[in-house]
Amino acid sequence: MLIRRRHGWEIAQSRATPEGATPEAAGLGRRALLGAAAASLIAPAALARAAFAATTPALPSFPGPMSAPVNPRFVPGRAITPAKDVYTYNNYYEFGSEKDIWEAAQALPLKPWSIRIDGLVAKKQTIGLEDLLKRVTLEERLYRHRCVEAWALTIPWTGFPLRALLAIAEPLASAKYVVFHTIEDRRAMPGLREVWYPWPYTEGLTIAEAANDVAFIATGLYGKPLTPQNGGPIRLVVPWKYGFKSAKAIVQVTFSEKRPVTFWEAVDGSEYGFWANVNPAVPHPRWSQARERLIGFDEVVPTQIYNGYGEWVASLYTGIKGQQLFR
Amino acid sequence: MLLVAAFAIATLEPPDMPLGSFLYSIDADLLNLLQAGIQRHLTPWLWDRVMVPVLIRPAWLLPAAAGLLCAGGAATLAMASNNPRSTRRWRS
Repeated sequence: MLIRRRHGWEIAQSRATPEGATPEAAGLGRRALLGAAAASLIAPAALARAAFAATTPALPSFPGPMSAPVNPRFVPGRAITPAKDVYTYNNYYEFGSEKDIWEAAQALPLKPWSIRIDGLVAKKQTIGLEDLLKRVTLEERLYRHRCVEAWALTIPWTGFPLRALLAIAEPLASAKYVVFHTIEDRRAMPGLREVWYPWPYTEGLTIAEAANDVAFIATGLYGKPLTPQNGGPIRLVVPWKYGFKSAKAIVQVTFSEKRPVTFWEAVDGSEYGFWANVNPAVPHPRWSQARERLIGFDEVVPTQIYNGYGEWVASLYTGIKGQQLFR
Repeated sequence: MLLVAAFAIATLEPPDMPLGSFLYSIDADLLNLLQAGIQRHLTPWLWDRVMVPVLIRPAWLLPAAAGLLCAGGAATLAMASNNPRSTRRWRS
């Protein structure tokens, strides 16, 4: 007789993939879901919210002021990391290179907050965060997060698809890249005293990457507003790439014809390049990327190519030759 | 040597260039490794309170200060070796 004993970190299969979690199980076709997603971009916010709610099965979302329907397409396949670990284990060099910067990060004022959209766009604009949130439909996504340092988290983000921000920005056809700039607040961020680094923190994606289904802008986590140490009030989330690609505390989004030199690429491009897609077969020069340590659980698991999001993103890179796609 | 290095840095680089920027221009990854090593494996205090204040000073200052200290030490040693070992011996 086989007695299956659950570990403390395991969640019931029914919670990880509850009945009706997939569009098919919920009686929905792929087209219906895509149609609802498209509607959310072009219809007024209220209409889109109603459409999304109608197509969203009853997945449990985290309660709180930022609570939103869970997008059932992205099932993490492993337990959500305990909130205390996500709140207290952070990489954020503007506050220091150690992991427990969460207290120092509270000095960053999150209100008022606005984002400048410029570069190759139809109309340069500055949008207040509250106004921006009125123009998008919030949803919750349960994403795996893989740090280049071979540790991982699983996080319930609240936010909206990056594609929705592109629709608001209206980039010109000549724009090939979208560049994200983190706030540079010298009073709140002691790390900025290290003037030799190429501040402000800058990250970039191709327009095709940014328009991908998985690319996400987060404004909350665990149903609550995004905390300063986690990149609040607004950050990028691109879970198929190593974590440093997901720029925090965004204050400027620039559309460019030229590929930007990103922050870590400037510091050491051979270790932290522009593409930085997760690949267990391509080691970091100083450590293996084959496995990852799950923060909050006493467990090490194999890493998946594109962090398991290959079905959505692998096609983005099929035509790219001679580039270091996985570092 | 240290004083020559300090003079060379002050002459060839902008005089107010921080030591950290100078080191970064030589090896961009060096300070990142050093910072991570100190903050994660020793203590953040050492980096924040000792290293950063040194690294944000002008690049020529550290070799100049070290050179002056070495020169002072060498001069003291030279004087000690030229003088009689102890004057007390003659007095007693």
